[in-house]
Amino acid sequence: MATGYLDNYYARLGVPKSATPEQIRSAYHAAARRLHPDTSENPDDTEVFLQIQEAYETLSNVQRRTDYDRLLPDDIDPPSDVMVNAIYSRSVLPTMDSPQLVYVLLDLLSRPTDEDRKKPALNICLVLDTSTSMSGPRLDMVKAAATTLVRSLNPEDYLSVVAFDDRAEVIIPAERGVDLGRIEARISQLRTGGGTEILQGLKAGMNEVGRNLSPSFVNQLLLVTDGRTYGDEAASLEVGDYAADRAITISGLGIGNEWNDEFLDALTGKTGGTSSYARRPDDIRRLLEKQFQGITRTYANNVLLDYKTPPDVELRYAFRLSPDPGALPLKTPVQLGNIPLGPSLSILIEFIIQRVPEGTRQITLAEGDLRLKIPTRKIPDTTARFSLLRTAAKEPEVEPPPQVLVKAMSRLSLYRMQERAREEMEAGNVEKATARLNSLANQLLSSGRPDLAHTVRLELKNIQKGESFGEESKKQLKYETRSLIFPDGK
Amino acid sequence: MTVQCPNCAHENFDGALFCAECGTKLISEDGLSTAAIRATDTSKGDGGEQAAPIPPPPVQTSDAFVSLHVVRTGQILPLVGREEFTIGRVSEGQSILPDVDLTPFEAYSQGVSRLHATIRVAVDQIMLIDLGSSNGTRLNNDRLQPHREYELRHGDMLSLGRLKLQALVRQD
Repeated sequence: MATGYLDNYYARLGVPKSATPEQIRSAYHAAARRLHPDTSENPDDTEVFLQIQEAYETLSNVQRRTDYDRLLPDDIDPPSDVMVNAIYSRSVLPTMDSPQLVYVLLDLLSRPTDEDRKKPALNICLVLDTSTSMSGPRLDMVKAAATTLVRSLNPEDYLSVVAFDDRAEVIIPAERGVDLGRIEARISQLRTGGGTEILQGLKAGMNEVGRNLSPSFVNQLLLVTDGRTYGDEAASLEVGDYAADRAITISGLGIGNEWNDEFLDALTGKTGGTSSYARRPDDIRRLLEKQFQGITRTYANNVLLDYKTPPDVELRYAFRLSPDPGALPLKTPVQLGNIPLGPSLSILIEFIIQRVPEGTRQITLAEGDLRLKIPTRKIPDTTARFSLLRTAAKEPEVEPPPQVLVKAMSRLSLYRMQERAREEMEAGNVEKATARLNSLANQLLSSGRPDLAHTVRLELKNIQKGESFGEESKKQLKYETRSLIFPDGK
Repeated sequence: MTVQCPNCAHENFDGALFCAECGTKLISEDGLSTAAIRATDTSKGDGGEQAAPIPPPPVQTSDAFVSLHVVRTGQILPLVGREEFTIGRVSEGQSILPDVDLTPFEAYSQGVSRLHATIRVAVDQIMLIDLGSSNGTRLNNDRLQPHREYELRHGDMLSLGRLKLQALVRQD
């Protein structure tokens, strides 16, 4: 993937060179609404507005656009806002008629200006489960964490709080710069009661975030729950799609053993968010603060990989290694999550190529657009073209794959094994799951985690007695093998 | 074309780096982290492929259920306090430490990996598992498949790389 930068009309509008007239028009209108001298309070915006207008005047006219395009080099798009580095498991692919796998480690690194180093403004809603099961230390810890979080907000951040059980109540409507004492008092008055209906909480939360929705904010919903929601999971996932369309990220924290981690992963994954697991109430505060810190350290959000593969190539698996490890939903565009200010957004992709015919010189694995939003920029939307290419040859020299890729994959392999053991248990394939858990226990030992190996062995005993996979062990294994992928502080 | 896993024999797609079934690494490139043993060294050292004579186990003085007898120095390392013991050597900057550190016995030059093998003490049997070490583990001269369990009995000879240990099990 080449990187380079040219100030051009497309980059000003944040659209790809291939943008349709409709995309150009709506990009212009969105920018104009925010930057027009009549509406903007910031005098600097006028100059940016004029630049955008200049771009639009050319690109909105077919003849002028065609003439302008002729002046541009072929590969104009990659902007300087993000550095992209791709590491491949093989530099030259062997030609063969049988399937082969290729792995790509994609690193996206921020290139912040001084302006970007400031915290981006937040538009955040806390959606808190206050069902009966939250009584006692769970709600106390959530209250304490929420209070800390509220205190760390900046005056320009929007905050709202929703409490839900069977119904949802807006405890603090979306506002900014309000009296901290009042917010804290309202949080401390939260009481428990009723069941868990996540859909109610999500809808109310989306409504609050929606009031001040803007690409200049990090638009975020943080869901905290300890229960399984019944009958409204499908509808909740639709809210996830709705959030993804509007570039609102949903993250989740599950407490205890009752909640459905697969559901929460699916919901948050749709929006580029993540879930974490608090085994004990004591974990709540640390995990919520960690998630919150991740949100405030955002450089770019809503990073999307809009890709196409040629007929013989399939993208089989995509996994975010950092920040917040998690499997990525493969629906295009793939929601990659956030690029933090500091460490990179790191994605591991597995491609399968059915055949590379003899005589092939070069093969495209995938190409398309990389789209992202940088909230601190005047024009947050940015698009970069990308293509993942490899050369091919007959019987190329065998070379060891890059160490960094092997290391990433070896950390990932533990997570994948527990993932597959779970799938096999659910499919009723106990024998296969048992064999896999046995291997996992041994691999965990050689990775220096005898505690987790022990958990697996206990679980194996239960499974041999005909019991099902315990909820606590399941979650512990999943979230612990996940955290092995990207240990805190690397 | 496929790549067969040395551990579980699963046929993986060409280009795979780790076995899709059991997670075993399918490529070897970590010879750098552990001193690699050349075949000639082994043959002149202690007999290589020929079955080395198994010495009579020394009398045990510790009350540990399982101990390891370092044949070359005569030292006995009791395994106490847990059910599983990882055996290896400590090196600088290493975050994962083995329960039994063989560094004092020239582990590095003998080809012992940092996490070489594990011994698991269960109620009725003792298991030995090679943790995918660079130079392999032998049990009474038979090379172990990595990540697979083998039963360990009193008097058995273990070679971690070239370092010889004898398993001592308390005879009640």
